[in-house]
Amino acid sequence: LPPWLNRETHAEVSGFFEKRFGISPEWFQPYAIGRKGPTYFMIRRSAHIEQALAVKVHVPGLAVLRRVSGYLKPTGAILQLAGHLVSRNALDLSEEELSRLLEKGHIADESGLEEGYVMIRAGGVPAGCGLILGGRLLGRFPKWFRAMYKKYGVA
Amino acid sequence: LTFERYRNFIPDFDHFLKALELEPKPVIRVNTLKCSPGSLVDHLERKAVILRPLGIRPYLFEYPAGGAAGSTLEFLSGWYHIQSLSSHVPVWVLAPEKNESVLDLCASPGSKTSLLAQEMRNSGSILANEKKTLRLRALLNTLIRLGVANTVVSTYTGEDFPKRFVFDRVLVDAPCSGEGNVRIRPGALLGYTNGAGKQLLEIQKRLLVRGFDVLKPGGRLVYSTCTYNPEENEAAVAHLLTVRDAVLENIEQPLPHSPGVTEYGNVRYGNELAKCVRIYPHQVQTGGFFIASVVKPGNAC
Repeated sequence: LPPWLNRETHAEVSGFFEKRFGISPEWFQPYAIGRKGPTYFMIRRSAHIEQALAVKVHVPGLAVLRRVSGYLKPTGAILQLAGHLVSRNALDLSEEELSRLLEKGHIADESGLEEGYVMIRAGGVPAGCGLILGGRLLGRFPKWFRAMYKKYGVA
Repeated sequence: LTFERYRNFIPDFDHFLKALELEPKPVIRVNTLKCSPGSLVDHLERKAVILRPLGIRPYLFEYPAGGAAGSTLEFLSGWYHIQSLSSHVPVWVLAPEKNESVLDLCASPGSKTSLLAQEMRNSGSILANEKKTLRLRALLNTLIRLGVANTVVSTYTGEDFPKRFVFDRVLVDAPCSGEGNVRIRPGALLGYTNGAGKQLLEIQKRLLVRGFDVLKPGGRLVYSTCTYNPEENEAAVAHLLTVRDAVLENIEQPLPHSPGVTEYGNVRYGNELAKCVRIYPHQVQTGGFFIASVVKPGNAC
């Protein structure tokens, strides 16, 4: 494997998700994990991974974490994919609350959860990432999600 | 009318023309990488959206007509994807197995790439290649939304894809004039002139040959377009059979269809081209498609 996909980074990422969201590190075992610049990617291990990564790679897998101002921020993609395994720091919103969050960018937080990144779930569906800070819940949805919401709304 | 020149080979041509005026069936594919069909059905039922199983694959459903399939949280969260029925067929024919290596040479907008990942249960390795920068964003958004985690994205010019890499399966869903989408998006035709059209035909042939060149012995390549024009379809496949040791396969797939065209205008492609599959909107309520499947002789290593 290329050196940027290494055990240390794998342990850092799986450790983050275990500590913050209660996702078992075992869930990450089938994947190789590495860091490119501020972004951490995971890609399924396979007999062909070396060849796949030997090409002129534009994106080397699914982005799972980003280092933002010294903090680790989970991507909406990983929280959506592994959301069913999250056992802590999950925040349940109604779809109306989610709509307000997407429109305004923030809503008041009355969850009682500790400050930091949370998984936002609405109607039982893992929707993405939020940040609890200073009594507010800030939406941390990717551009494509907000753009599609703006275009179509959420029913 | 553009399609008048196809009157000789499209069966029941007048019925075909009438079918172009009908709305296609809104079809969704449950993304089993994220949820089960039953779970999605239950969730949408709570919103008074009743899905009708198509009975073709457990993950395929008809979305209620007039419903905004792209406006649910389940859609935004990647629990399902909106994809025309016929565009599933190239992936079904390619039939990737778990842990194989697959090249999707012209991958954007990622519907087929994500279906490949779904069929492979996010295992093995997919290389999704897309040379057009403007189309990359659509591909990436699809892969992210659907939670595809076995795919690397590259940006080679497809017809110049490096020959040093080889794959168990290759999908060449070539850029085309898009005639099969006329029904889905009125005015979808690229309106290609003779000059641009000829250039497109050359690109399609070169993509197909390069796709075959990076196929492992014993591997399978599927060539598909969403157009009816034999010059973009059977002619490209006939060209491959002439310049490479490729073996055209019979295709088994579940949708009503017609065989490939064996001659068009003054050009005879050969009886073997009847092994290809043509999907027409009057035979099944979906967009038009062409699919050919070839294998490379030899044993897989």
